[in-house]
Order: sequence, then structure tokens, then C-alpha cells
Amino acid sequence: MRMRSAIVALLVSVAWPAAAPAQGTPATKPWVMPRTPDGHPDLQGNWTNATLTPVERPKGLPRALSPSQVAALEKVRTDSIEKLGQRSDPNRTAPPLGGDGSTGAAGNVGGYNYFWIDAGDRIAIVNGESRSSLIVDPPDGHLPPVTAAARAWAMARGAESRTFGQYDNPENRPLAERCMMSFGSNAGPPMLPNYFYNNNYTFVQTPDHVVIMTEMVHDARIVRMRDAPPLPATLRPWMGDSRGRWVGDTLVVETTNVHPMQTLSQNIGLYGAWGATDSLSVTERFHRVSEHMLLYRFTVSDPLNFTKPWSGEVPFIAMPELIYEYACHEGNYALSNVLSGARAAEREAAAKKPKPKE
Amino acid sequence: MIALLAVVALFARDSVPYASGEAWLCRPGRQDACTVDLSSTVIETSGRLTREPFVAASAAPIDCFYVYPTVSRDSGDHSDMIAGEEERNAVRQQFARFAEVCQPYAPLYRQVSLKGLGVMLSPQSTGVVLNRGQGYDDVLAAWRHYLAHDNRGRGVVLIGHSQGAMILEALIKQEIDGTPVEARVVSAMLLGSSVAVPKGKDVGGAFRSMRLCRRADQVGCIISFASFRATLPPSPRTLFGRVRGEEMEAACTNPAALGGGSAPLHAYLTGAGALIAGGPDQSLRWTTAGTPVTTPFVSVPHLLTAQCVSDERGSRLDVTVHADSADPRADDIGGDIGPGTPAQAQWGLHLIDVNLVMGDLLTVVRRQSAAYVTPTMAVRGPILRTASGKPDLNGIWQALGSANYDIEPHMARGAMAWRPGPVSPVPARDVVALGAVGAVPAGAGVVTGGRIPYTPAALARRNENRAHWLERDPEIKCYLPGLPRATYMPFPFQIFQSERSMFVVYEYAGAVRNVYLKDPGPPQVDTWMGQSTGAWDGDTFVVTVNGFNADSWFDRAGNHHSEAMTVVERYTMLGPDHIQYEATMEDPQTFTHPWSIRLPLYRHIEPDARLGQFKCVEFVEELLYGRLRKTPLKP
Repeated sequence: MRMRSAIVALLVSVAWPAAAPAQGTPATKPWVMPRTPDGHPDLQGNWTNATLTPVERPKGLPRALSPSQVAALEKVRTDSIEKLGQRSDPNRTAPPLGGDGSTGAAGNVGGYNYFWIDAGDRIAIVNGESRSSLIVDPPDGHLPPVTAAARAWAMARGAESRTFGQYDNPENRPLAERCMMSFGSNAGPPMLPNYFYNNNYTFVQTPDHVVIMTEMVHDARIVRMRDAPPLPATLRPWMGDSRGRWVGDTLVVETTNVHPMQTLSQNIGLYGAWGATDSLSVTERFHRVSEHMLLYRFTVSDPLNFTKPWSGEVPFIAMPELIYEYACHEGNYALSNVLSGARAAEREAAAKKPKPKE
Repeated sequence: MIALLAVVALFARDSVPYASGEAWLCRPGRQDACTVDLSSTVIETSGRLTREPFVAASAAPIDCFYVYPTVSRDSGDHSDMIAGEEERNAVRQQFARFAEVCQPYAPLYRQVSLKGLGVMLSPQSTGVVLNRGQGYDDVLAAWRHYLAHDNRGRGVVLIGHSQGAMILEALIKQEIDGTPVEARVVSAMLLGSSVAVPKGKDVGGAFRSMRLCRRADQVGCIISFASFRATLPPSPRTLFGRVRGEEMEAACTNPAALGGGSAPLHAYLTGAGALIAGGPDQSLRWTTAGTPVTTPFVSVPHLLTAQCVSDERGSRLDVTVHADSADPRADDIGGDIGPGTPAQAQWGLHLIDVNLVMGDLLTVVRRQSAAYVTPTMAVRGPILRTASGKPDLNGIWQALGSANYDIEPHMARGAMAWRPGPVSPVPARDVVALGAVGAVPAGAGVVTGGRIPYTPAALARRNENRAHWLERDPEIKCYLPGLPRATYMPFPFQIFQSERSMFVVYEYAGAVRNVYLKDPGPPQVDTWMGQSTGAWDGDTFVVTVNGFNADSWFDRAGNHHSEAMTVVERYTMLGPDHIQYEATMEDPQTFTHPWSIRLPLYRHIEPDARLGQFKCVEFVEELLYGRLRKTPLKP
């Protein structure tokens, strides 16, 4: 299922922009913006933001990748997909005691093969430009410097977390492993790809609300479209308090009051070390540019964390398939096993220690 | 200046964003073109002046939607979207007073301006038309916006004059006449225009379903006329009172006498001079003494009468001025276009069509409103409907009662988990600390017939579940609730309904359901919330849910099902704030025959009601993983 959706996304992204068909291809009906009865663009349906383009720009790359750079990057990914997509050997033996020494989700005792993974295998294309990073401002494609206060705070948080072993308590594990949110900032805002799997969203629009449901962990963000008082500062739900409006054909959503434990990403440098501050506000702009693509632009302003705001652009590609229930917590054997594995390791280590003489 | 440019830029686009308050001259509950001084001076034949204050209704049960006539003095053929004094004045003269009887809505629109009208009426007239193009498109967009966002199933009076009436006539033809929306139209007032009806009939010309109003308590009907002085009937080149077609005539309904005949008019004329197209009214002396009138409006009891007349000159509302030169009151009114010129007999009293009968229109709307509201509102009120006429289930809903404790009839009991006591069972150790908070409130049950028809094995399993409630109830572990339990958990849920989607978000555990409106085929995987497919059966939304796993329960009393279960839910609105919820369960592995539950759902009516967040996974970590901590807490 996921493989198929990846292929669809791939075909779609290759076909875009639909408005300018290549020479020689038969002219197709021009695309007309679908609209709701109240005249606004209809964004409803399923979308995916899986992509190979990272949030921050890798060293040495320009903002716009050349066709040969795109081909090279995509080939690395397709080769690795091919390798990971091999059938598992049903006759293989158990991994060696203590793991095979590799790291990551697929390492150690053997994790997912590619059947389970849908990390995005195409470079993001925005306005015809192949992008080396999702961040477009600052222009170097990197997060702006963090504030001195944020640095101090991160150090304090780091020191505090080092007083625990990483497997000591459920609270020491990442949010996604605890089934509280998806990986990284998947549900957002801003809604970023998690570079792993299930980067899928359902959009629903009524006259008064826009709902954006993130496949993981069936997190529905309810955007209020009517004038409504903002939440008091003491209420900080997961995904924050989102209020939207239409500016022409663009849906503009402003979000504040994001839950203090919500982090931007486990993959992005320092930011991963702490959560949203109460100075965080995110402005998101959704504009449907074709039948198959929604251009998602966002600006993060968090003066307590960052020395200046930063912005990114992410293509959301239409996904014609259904999204199934991501019941994470209900089947979360992993968290129990991680913790009990750590306890078993501790018992083994204790047994090896020479007993203190009486 | 920058703000002005921003507004211009905003409206330079093709479609006007009526979500913006700036695109409306009037909306309820704000200070705008409708909240102006409407006080008037009653000028009696004796010359006595009495001041009459204006009081808007505080909570009128119906709405009014107004499209103003050609007033714009903008330089182009079409007006811009910036409200000028001329638009505001039209509202003051023709519409603001309706706030006595309804909640006012008046969109700005890019109308044919006075300049454009001049071009249209000139011999070199080109393509400018009043009831098509930009102006019509704007009003259509405003109407759709109003229906989608503001109407909420309320009755609405459509009011237009001149260009506004022509646009409304086209709008009614295209969007309302003979459609489900027609049921929401209390009446349509197409004033100062010529609406075609077959001669001697009330329907079948411009409209196929909406008839002319012949009684004040008739709803869904049309009021239309063009006024002329009885002393100066329409000339052969009249602009009003004639329509195309041998069999057709222009409608004339006299707001002061809908059943026919002559009647005195309850006019609100201008006291200080402004007419709808601007320019001073010439007759400002309302008494021979010249007592100054300090209110913007005057009324002149018994001075004017009117009746509909139809002859070879056309159909019109003939207005007679009953002057008495002996009394100290003024003997004539103003409002003519080009007095003494041929234009006067072409236009008649067009500029004051609405002023002449304003008081009578208010009386009609008062009666129509009562007639509209009374039969449909029953006890609970009319249900809300979407733009396409379907019941509008959008909102935050919640069940009351104790079904989540036990869907079968039950007495109150002291705990959900027990152990043997010295005399009789006592609350189990793990719940005893909760005391009365951990007790079960009584409930009449929601199961039709009282009992769930379990097979013997399934009943035994239910009883065992109940005995092991603490270990087994998925709710305790913050697992997804399944259906129908999600509906009557002690948490609200929110329905998001659009023409293309039906989506439900439950506060408990952040559970969601996408109810497919097109059957996606057999479920591909078993899930907690199942796969939902919905369709309308008349005014009832019917959802078939299958593809369940066997892990969800019905309540805290151990009631259960297998993965073979199919649930058919029925959502029927009982009123604006109530849904009758019914669900039928079929599961041959667990039940001997299908059975049903039924309970009402209540809307959260508090202003700015919103769904809370109960992401409870975090809350059960100590319960589920506490024993696996490096240092488990001491008991």
C-alpha cells in the first residue's frame, strides 16, 4: 500500500507542473481550481509531504539543484530502497546477542525493511525549482542562530536529561516512541516530513473550520475560520491553537499556544533539545497550485528560541489512496520491550559484577 | 492611503472575498451603514410634529438580505468595492429600518454605476446590462457566502430596488426558485422593477414556483411594483411597468393592500433632503409655518394613498397625494426625476419607491416573520441546513446520561470493580480510594428492549469481562473507543460536514473517523474505529461501519462484540441543537439477532464552544509502564 502511494506521488511530482505540458504531448483540459460552495479553493482530500529534500541545506549545495544533482541524489535513494526492499530471508537466524553493531531503526537486531518505510524518494520541486532544502529563509537554507537564552536553556535541559539513562523511564523516550505524536514536526505546525514513513494528511473544509488530520498519530488539528477569541496563554494543547482566514485563494493559518513539550524535530540540531516556547507563532500559507499539488509555505517566529524568524516551502502531493487508522499506542509493545530490555540488561550486568564480600 | 490601496488590491481580484467584513455594508451586531439615525417626525394634518424614535429588534428571528439600486458615482461603468456616501445613503433610505424586523445583511457589489447606467440608457448603448456580469456575480458570491456561513437555517427576506431588484430576480431564478433554498425565503421584495407574471396570474412568468404575495401572512412570495403619480401615468417610453410577451404583464403588489384596492401609505420620506441618488429633495417645507424638521425622516399620515393599476400604459402603483391647502401641512412630496420633463413620466416616483411604502413593508415582514417562524419552529426550532439543503450536522455534540457505564438498564452501584467483603462485596482495592467518585450512576439504559441479545457463550464472556474490568476495559488504557461507544463517552465530539466530506473528531483519545461518502469497498484492515461509509436517507445521515477489530467495548460493564460486527448508525436532527442517534449492531458471533441503541445528542451551544484535547496516552504511562521503570515507585 505504502509503496504504491510512493509511486503515485512520484509520478505526480514528475508530471508537475500540469499547467505547462511538455511540447508534443496532446493538450489536456486546463485545470480549474475546485471550489467549495462558498467560493474558496477546495483543498479537501489526502496529501503527502514525503520528500528527499531535507529541512536544512546540506553543505556545498546551491538552493536550486541542477538536473544532474537531482538525478544523483535520487539515485542514491532508489539504490538504497532497492537494497532495503529485498525480500527478507525467512530462514535467517536470530541476530547475534547484543545486536549486529549497526545503528538506527534498521540496525542492531534488524528492524524495518523498506516495505514499512516511505521516506520520500524525490527532491522537492517548488515553482519548477528543485530544492536542496525546505528552508528558504534565511537564504542559506539553515535555521537562524538560536538566542543565548535558548542555548542556556538547552544546556540546562541537556544536563537534566543526562541525570537519567535514556531507557530509565517512559518519559525519557521520544514522543513518537511513546505514541504521543508523530516523529519530528509531522503534525506541526509547521508540518514537516518525518523522513521515515506515513507522511500523509487528510484535509476537511467546512464553512467554519479546516481540519488537518495527520496520519500519525491520528492527530486532527482543528483550524477555526471564524473570528474567535484566542486561547488563554495557560492553555497550550498539542499542535497549538490555530486560526485561519482566506486571503484571496490562499488559506492563511496562524498558530500560537503550542504545547511546551512539542519539539520541532528530532533530527534538527539544537532545536530538538527543547520544546516550543510561549513566544512561538507559526504562519502557514496553503495554496493549491494544481490538481496534484498544494504549495505549503510557513514562517516560524519564536524570538525566545531564534534570533530571527525563518521560513520554508514544502510541496504537498495529492494522494488518491485511503489513509488507515494509525493506532499506535494500542499496539505499542515496543515501549514495554525497550524498557524491559533495559531492565534485563541491568540485571545481567549486575549478575556479572563480583558480589561485595560480606 | 496604504490601507486604501490594500483594500483596492484585495478587491482587484476576480471574486470578492465576502468573508471579509469590509465587503458588507451591513451585518448584524456591528456598527455600520445600518446603525444610523433613523428617527422620524410625524407631521399630522394639524401641523403638529411628533418625534418617533427608531428601535432595532434585539434578536429578530429572521434575516434580511438587501441589494441596493444604482447609486454609485464612481468614475467607471462599474463601481469599486469601497462604500461611499451614496451606498450608505441608499441603505439609510431603503434598508436600515428593516432592522426593526430582521437581522440585516447588505453586501457591497461592483454594480453598474450611474455613469454606466447613463451609457446603457443612451442611444449608443453597448453591452452594459444590469442583471448579468460583474454585479450579479458579486451578489451571487455574497448570497452563497451568506447561506454557507450566516444563514444557519433561518428565514430570510430578499430586498432589492431597481438594479438590486433585477439582480435579485436573476438570483432567485438561478439559485432559489423551485430549489430547497426556497423554503428559507420568507419573501422577496423586488421593488422599482418589472417582474413578469402571466396576465391575471400570480406565478408562471419570471418564476416557476414563487408566487406574488396576496396576504400579509403568506410566506415565500414576491412583492413587486413601480410607483407613479396617479396624476402622471407612465408614458409610452416608460422604463417600468411593462414586460415582454403578449401573455405577460408586470407584477404589481401593493404593500399597503396585498389583497388589492386602495390604502393609505405609511411612508418614511426624507426630512432633510437626501434621495437615493443624492441631490436635495426640493420640498423641505413640511408645514406652512416652516417649523424645522430635525430628524432624517418624516411621515405624513393620510397624505398618501396608493393602488395597483394595470392598463395599456403598464402596471404600476398609482400614488395619490391628498393635499388640503387649508391645513398647515405641506401639500406635496418630492422624489420625482426631472419634474416637468418627459423623464418624469418615464421614471415615475422611482427614487422614492421604497420610502413611500417603508412602514407598510415592515408591517408585512412582521406578519410574514410570525407566519414563517411559528409552524416550523415547533418546540425545538427549525433544523439547520447546508447550502445544498441537507441537514447541517456541523457542531460539537455530546451525549448525556450514564450509557458509558453500562448501556443496559442499571441501578446505581458503589464501584466498577469489586472484591468479596465480610458481609457483602466491597469496592476493589485499586478503586476504593475513589469513594463516591468511583461509583456508577443509575441509568435507564439505551438498548431498545433493555437487554443485549447475547449468545450464551458471549454472555458468559461479558460477565467475566465485568469481573475483570480493571484489567480489561480498553478505556482504562486510553485505547481507541470503537463504535458506537465513542458517541456516548463522557466527552464531546465534533462533526465536520461539507459537500464532499463527513469527518468526526472525538475529544477522547483524539479518535477520528473519516466517513466516506463513496463506498471504498471492503475494509482492508481491521481497526478500532472501523471503516465508515455514509449516505443520506432523506434527512437522516446513515453510516455503515464495519472492519472492526474485536477489542473495543460498548461500556465499562464488559459489553463486547467480535470482529464480525457491523454497526449501522442513523443521525437525525430533531431541532437545531439535538440529534437523535440510533445504532443497530449485527454480529452473529456474539448476538442472537441484531439490536439497537437510541439516545439524543446535545449541541454545545456556549459561544465559542470548542473541542478540548484529551490525548490520554501520556496519562496511562505509569499504569502501563510504571513497573518497568529503572526504579519503580514504591507501592
